[in-house]
Amino acid sequence: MSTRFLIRGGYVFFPEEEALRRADVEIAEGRIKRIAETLPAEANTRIIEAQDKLLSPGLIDLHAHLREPGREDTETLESGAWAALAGGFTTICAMPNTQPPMDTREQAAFISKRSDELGLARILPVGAATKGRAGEEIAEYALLKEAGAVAVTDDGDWIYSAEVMRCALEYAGMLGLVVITHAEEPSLCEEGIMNESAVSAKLGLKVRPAVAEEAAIQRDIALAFCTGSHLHVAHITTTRGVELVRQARVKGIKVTAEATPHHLLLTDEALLSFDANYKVYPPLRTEEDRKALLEALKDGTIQAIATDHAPHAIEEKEQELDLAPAGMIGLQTALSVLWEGLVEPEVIKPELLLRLLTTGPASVIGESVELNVGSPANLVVFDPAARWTFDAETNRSLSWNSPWFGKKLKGKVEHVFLGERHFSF
Amino acid sequence: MPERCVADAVEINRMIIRIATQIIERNKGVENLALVGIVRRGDALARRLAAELKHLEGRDVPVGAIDITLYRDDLQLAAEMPIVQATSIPFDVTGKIIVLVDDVLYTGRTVRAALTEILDFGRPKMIQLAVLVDRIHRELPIGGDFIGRKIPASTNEIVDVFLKETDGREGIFIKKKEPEEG
Amino acid sequence: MTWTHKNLLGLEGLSREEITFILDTAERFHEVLDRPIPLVPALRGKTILNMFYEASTRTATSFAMAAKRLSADVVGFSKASSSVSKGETLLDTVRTIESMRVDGVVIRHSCPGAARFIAQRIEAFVINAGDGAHEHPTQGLLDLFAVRKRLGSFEGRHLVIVGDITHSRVAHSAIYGFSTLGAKITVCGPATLIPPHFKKAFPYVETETDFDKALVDADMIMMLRLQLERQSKGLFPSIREYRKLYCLTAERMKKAKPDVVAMHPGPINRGVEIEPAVADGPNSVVLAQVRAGVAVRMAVLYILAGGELEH
Repeated sequence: MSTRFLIRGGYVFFPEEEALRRADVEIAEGRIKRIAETLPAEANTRIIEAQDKLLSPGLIDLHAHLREPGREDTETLESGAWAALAGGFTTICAMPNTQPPMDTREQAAFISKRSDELGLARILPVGAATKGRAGEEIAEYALLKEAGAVAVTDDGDWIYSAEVMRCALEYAGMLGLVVITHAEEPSLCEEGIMNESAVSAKLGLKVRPAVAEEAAIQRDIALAFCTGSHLHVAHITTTRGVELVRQARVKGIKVTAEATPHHLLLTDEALLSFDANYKVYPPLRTEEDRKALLEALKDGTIQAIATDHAPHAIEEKEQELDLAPAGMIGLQTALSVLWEGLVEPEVIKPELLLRLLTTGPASVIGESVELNVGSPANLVVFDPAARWTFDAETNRSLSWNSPWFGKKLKGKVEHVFLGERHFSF
Repeated sequence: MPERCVADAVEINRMIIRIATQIIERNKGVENLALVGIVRRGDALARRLAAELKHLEGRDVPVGAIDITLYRDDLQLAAEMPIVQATSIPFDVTGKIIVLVDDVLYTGRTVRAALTEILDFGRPKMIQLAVLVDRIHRELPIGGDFIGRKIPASTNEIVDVFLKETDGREGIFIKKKEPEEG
Repeated sequence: MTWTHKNLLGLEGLSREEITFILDTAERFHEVLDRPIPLVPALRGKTILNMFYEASTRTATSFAMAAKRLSADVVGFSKASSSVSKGETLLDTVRTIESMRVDGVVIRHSCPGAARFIAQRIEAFVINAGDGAHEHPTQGLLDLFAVRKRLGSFEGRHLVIVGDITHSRVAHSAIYGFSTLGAKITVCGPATLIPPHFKKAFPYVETETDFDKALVDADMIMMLRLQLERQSKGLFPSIREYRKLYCLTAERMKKAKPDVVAMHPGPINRGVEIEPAVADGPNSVVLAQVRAGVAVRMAVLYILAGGELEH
């Protein structure tokens, strides 16, 4: 017998209307049983008081590095899925830059199977766009798709050959798969580790300039236009990059884009500390770029916020900045830091943030999000006022490379309902 | 704390004249003699002594100055950084009779440092020591050759020598140490 | 004056008073270098570790000599002879140093921030002897020292720094040091070797690509060493062309003020950055810079070693 739950008095995000309304929600047998302004508590029902809290469909992350297979010391599918749940994500896309790269049906099937066994956040494999992520020959997209892949990408590297990228788009388009591009022209980024800016001019660090992203996006948009296929720009960061996507969308080219919490909240000034936790690719940009990203969230140029959760071992991160690997973890903290950093100061509306974390990303990979009577339970209860510390005790990831590690955060995921399972944090 | 004057300008001057006379007597003139003052007050005293020697003997005696900061044995105990002053010995010390000059001889550590430093400049024939005040309580086997006055003050007293050149006033004073805080 | 810094990681952020204090202290050590026995016992019993992760005969020698002139014990390694080449991480090296109980660490490293990385993790004081293209504070200090001996003060004087500004820690430290002491600064070099956001980073510094223009008004000219391998990256087309545009030639010197001070951090690519006739001529302080290097490094070692109470 599964328990009945009555979540009472919370603000519920209804994805179809994109509205936040006060409502009581009853869950039974893994499905939403009733939704009403007030519901009476019935016998054998566990009541969850959610006054001043938020009730949202489970969040979707388009971009997570789960490191299995290959670097299970830094993350596994299991630990990553736990971190996701604790951060309110019930669906996450696993990037293919594992060791070996996820470029075959068997590897994608392993992820899908493991995801089912775990019964935690659902893990959707993203296949490698080229064999071995070498950028030379496209991978077996149809077989990858059969094994559950929802997109293809060589994330971490830009596909340098325009011809290969064109093939990838054409072939993926035929199968209805989206091609995700990591838009950084490598010849402009040689050995670079940070944005080219006033900060880099002072610190003497080698650069990955904004123009590297713009040049890459420009070419990829040209190829998306000529193939008619769906291009998704991962972790977009620059003013001009966003402008290119905006113009392309106006012209009807199938281009979507995502931004990460760190690019939305931080700038390259963070590197004045030389703290390797702020080293990410693409790099943190200027305040002007950050503002341009926020504008692009509001006008719909960017459809999704994705974490680019990138676990790294402490001994790798605690090195000279040049040698430390790029990336930070983000699954467990994304909602908290975005809420505190963007919604509380009224930079964006809560409805917009929730769209960017649910229906927005879902639309990129052709998923649907529902919160109706009869829908399977896929719900998150978030208390925007709760304070917690992201530390060794609360962290669910196997890694802790995050600038928010050790910090007090505001806003916490308290419950996740996923089918018949209930998790509280 | 009130300070007690034990010698005024006139008395200091008498001491300098007496020390100058003793230097001449001991060395049978000022031939081959040079003075080296320990900055800052020893430096001032060395210049006065040189003037007095010239007055008595009619000859210039070379004068040098050394700052022993870099030769101290208590660097790590200094909370405030001492400003390192100029060391200037404008003559070759080798073969000379050097009279080292300072205001107060107390533990002997300053003189020890000064001796080491002078020996780094060459090999003098002899080094003698002239001080205005000898406080007795020695921590090293060092003695003064020419002494203005012996003042057996206790260790909880401070003996200050003030000179016009360095302090704007003149006199030797004794006062009790301030009780340490805490 | 009370010295409050545990380390010397850069000249950025040091006050005019602090920089002057180091230079004044260095004057005394400069005098020590003239003595028959150029050695003082100030740091007897202290151990200084020289960690050079980049080949640098000059700076390594200068630091070793400075420490020895202060009677400190000097141990050290350069990349080729240490376990670094066996892949030991900097963090492990740091832990090793900690357990050896050294008093001060001098580090040269190709990564910006490396000196700071170490300083945050050990008790011993740390002197940055150059971290990538970030800072090289003792070079900046010795430049100041050598010029001060010639010009007396920096107020209203004009420094022109010429060459590869983008990749130059020497330029960065000079900018902080000379501007703090009141000098006006212009950086000069090909557009490919001046960072695009330079003006935003250093609003008080002028930029100029035409050396002949920049030179006229200069009281001090600092020629930077050109890493010849930059050419293969296409940042300038050839040595011949670089020389034409940016070499400090006798011909160019005619256009400069007659008493202009010419500096070069060394080692010089003779005939590329500066003509021998100028490098060895009356306006050059190149050798004075080398000598100043030992005095300044003695001053820094002395100040950092003595600046803290021992418990």
